[in-house]
Amino acid sequence: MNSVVEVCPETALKMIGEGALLVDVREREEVAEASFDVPGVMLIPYSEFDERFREIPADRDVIIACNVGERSLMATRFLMHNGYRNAVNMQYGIVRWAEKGFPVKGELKRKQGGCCCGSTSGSSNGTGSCC
Amino acid sequence: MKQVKILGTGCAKCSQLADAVKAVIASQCIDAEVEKVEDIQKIMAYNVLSTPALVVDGEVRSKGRVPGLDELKDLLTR
Repeated sequence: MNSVVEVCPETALKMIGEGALLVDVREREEVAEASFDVPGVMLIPYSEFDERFREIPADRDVIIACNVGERSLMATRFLMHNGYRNAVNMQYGIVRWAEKGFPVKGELKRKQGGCCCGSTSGSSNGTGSCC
Repeated sequence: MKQVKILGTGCAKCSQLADAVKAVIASQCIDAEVEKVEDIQKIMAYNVLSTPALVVDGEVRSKGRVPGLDELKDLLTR
């Protein structure tokens, strides 16, 4: 498989301006706290991603994002495995996006990395990456 | 013999599932071979992203969680 293309938040914002679709794979409770304030952002929680990924159009440039870029990297690899040729991972996630002053709704409080093992809510302490 | 695979990249939950599966297999005298699959490309071949996942005879029977022992018994024997 080809390696995943990764873009920084600046490049992601530029791509969105040019028509790319931003897909946020954070869980619902994370999105409720703070979310990307860009038009048309698609929300598919990581824990549902393997069931719902076909909602993502295969004929558009797609940017996958999460909290810090770990879950989105896995999700991007998953998309590529399923034939999505135009999917890229946004490095450093919404944390770096917010640090750059890019548009965010709400307030980003937690700095957790998330977890690729099912839902973040399923983890006993919610402290972040486990794999 | 059942072919049982535990899909997971090596996190704590994946180990929990592997231990629970082995315990159920032992307690129920299930004739099964258990294999842990940690390679992400091999995991994705099952179209699974949320790990850990349990595969029995090529069928994904749970993913993204560690089922309880009673449910595991059902998943492994059905």
